[in-house]
Amino acid sequence: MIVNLKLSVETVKRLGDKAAREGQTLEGLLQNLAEHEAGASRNAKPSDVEPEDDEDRPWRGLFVLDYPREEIFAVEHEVNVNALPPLPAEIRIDARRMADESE
Amino acid sequence: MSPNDPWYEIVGPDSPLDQGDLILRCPILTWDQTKPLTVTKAGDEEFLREHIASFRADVLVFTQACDLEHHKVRNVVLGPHRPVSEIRVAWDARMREMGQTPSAKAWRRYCEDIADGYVWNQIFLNSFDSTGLSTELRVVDFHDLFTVPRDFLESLLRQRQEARLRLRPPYREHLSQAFARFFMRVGLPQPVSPAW
Repeated sequence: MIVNLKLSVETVKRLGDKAAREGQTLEGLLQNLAEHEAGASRNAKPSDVEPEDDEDRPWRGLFVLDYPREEIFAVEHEVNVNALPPLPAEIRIDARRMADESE
Repeated sequence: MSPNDPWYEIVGPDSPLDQGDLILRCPILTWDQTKPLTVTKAGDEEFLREHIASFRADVLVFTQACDLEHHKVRNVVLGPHRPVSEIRVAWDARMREMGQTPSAKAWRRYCEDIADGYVWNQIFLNSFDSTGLSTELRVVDFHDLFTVPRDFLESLLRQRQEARLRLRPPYREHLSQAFARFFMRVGLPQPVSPAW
């Protein structure tokens, strides 16, 4: 979690010195620190992570992607169809057997 | 070889099929969904014949190890997985379809969400690098599952005579748990009122 605090004069001076030593501005240094903190917070326990707006993450939940597929029978589709085994016969009622049972 | 890799072990072609086996370019028989799937007249046999699709996919064995070991199943449940570089291409296209910018930052957040379990239907498989057998990071998708006869799959592996990767415990159970979470999730008609 990132908490914005009002920095003391002394802290600002020390950070300004650090920024000068590293050849960057104070704003740049603070930005780098904020990004570093954000990275650290991602590695924190889930309960410590500040939830973000789901609108920024439209993939959350079920996110389905269409991948390219390597078709096997794209050219020889007829071969594939003809290779199908015949479907089993439908259930048939034997009229003679029904007549026997009714007697 | 990386015999001490925590995620994977390398098994030979004669090793019995097991949960967590990664099988590359596995032949799959399924429905051709590029054609209309609405039955408009009697005779579903002919409809079925016209809608058969066959393709190759990289898959992972989902069937429980004990069911395979004790020969309790004739068919093996497989889940597809793709290299993350291919997922990136598909994700970029999907983001554009949704009117979103597929920035590097958004991609990073998407991957973090998969890793953290926020994307219910996807989970990462770690990368692996070894002499003769390596893979980049991969993403398993629970949305499409396939079944293949066990006899067919085992004979295919014997015929290929190639080593394959096998997920080690607890990574395979972690994947199994993620699939269970995806499958058993229940949506409420009305969510809890946010009185906080």
